[in-house]
Amino acid sequence: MSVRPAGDFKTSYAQDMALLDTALYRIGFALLLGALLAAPLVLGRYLFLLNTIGIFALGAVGLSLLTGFAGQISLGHSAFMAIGAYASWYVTTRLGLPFLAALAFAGAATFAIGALVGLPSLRIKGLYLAIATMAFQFITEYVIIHTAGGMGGTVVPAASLFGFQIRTETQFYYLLLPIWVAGGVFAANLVRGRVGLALMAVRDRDYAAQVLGVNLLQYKTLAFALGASYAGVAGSLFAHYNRVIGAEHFTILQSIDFIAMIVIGGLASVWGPHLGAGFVILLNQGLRYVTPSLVTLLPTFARAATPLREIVFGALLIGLLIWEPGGLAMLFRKLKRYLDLWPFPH
Amino acid sequence: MGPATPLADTVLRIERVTLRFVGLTAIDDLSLAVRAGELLGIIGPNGAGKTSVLNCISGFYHPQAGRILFRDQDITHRPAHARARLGIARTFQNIALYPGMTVLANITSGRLLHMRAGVLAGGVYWGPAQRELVRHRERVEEIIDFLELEGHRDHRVAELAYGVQKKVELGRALAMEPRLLLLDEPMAGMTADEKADMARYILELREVRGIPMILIEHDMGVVMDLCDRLVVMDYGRKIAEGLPEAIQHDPRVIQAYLGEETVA
Repeated sequence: MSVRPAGDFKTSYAQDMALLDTALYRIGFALLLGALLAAPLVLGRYLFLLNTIGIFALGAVGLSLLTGFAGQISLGHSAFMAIGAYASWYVTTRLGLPFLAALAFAGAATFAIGALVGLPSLRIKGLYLAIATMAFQFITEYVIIHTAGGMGGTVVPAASLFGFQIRTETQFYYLLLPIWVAGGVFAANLVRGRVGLALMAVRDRDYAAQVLGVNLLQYKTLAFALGASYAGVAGSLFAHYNRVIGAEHFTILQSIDFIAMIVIGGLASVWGPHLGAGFVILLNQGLRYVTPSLVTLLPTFARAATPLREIVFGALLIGLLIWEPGGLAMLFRKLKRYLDLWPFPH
Repeated sequence: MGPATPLADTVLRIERVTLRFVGLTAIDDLSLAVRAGELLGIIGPNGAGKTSVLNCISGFYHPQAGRILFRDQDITHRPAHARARLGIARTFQNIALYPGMTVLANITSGRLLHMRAGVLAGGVYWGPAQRELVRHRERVEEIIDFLELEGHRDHRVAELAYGVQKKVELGRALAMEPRLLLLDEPMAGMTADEKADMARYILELREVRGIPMILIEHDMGVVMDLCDRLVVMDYGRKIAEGLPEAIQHDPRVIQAYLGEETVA
């Protein structure tokens, strides 16, 4: 049950349905946006972390729509990111179109391909769907390796916006931030409205959804298309950020990382994919910094250090599934509830 | 038995429907009709095929023979979601709500087929999508008022008592503004008070809103009091049809269904 501060009265349904429904939330969100805007001043050379988080958070938002809200498992999410990245490369280099056109094309192309890949989801469910999407992942990797120049990588030009070349981390950050925020808000709006309700209806009980007039095929393919489209946009951004793309950037391990992000962040949560992407990327980088010093301190530790990332990840996922299946987003909600009610337990 | 006589005011007509599962005939050459504004009861012993009839009407089962006509349209081969869009709503014997969602969200899900906002409008939200949601929220609140669920609005369905969940499921079906409502044991497992409430809602739906309904129910007192007409099924066949008083004294019914001389 939700707890609201005393004196917070709603006088219209529009107010009651607002995304940020208390003054505290609205102030908090404004502060967060302010902090994100000012981040390059503070982060300095660590700004690349926020850039990486933003790109992968967008991709994770897509998977959260597909898996968290629509209940369709996908092990091929990074394949859509690859398609978005290569589509963007093609449009900017071969067709010579500007970055924004490439971004839009990447989103549209992955939307269409996502819908196609989603078609079998009407017939196959659960683990079998996971296997089918994994096949799509491997096919995509295979196609990339055998058509787009192998593992060596493809060079992508810097994004240019109305003739202005985006070269530094800070410049890219201010290109990414509006897309990141808009993408997050778009998804948050979508899931509180008709489409989100229909997706959740399909996820929780598909036969009841049919009785409510929901066309399962339509909404499952829509979920795939939307999820893929987010991944495609993230892939396009990644291509112009990293400037080099290759099959090794879009492996099944990356797809699994996406799943880790949305599970750790909170499956059916608007904040979940952002929190999860932040957590996973910071953990990756953190372990990269910590491991060498651990090895010098404890030389016997060296043998365990190589798979340390996988070990920590596995332990974290298991721990979360046991203690907080709602993920980080749920932990935040519980913390807020605790603070709201403090010093009383209920 | 021949096809039901076509009536001008017939909402639903089932014509000689036969439904077979491997080695089992669940519905055997069944014909029945629901008239405008009518509350039709289907009774019969367990396994008689009552729920199978509802599943044929709402499109989960596809009969091997016969036709189903809804408002003079042949819907026999229409998928379930298309039938819902034509105005056929139902509740389930063992509650098919969304347990993780609030009462508000569950009832709102009944409005899905009346909502139009697409992906773009929904994602942008401010503007048409918000106006639409507010409009539908008003209708949902009317249903919450009608079913006296105000206090449970923001509760998750899983937290609610069984009887309240049954009410929420009725609310979700009503939110669809149905032209035919199929109620599969809406009072099963309820306390006497809850049953009385549910009976009151059903009567009001018939008297005030004139929604034609099919009611499957095992409580004979309720069935005899509420229904305009009864169809009695046994082993997939219709063994009797008529006014409740006549059914009560029909020897075939007493023999097949009640197994004794007197009716409770």
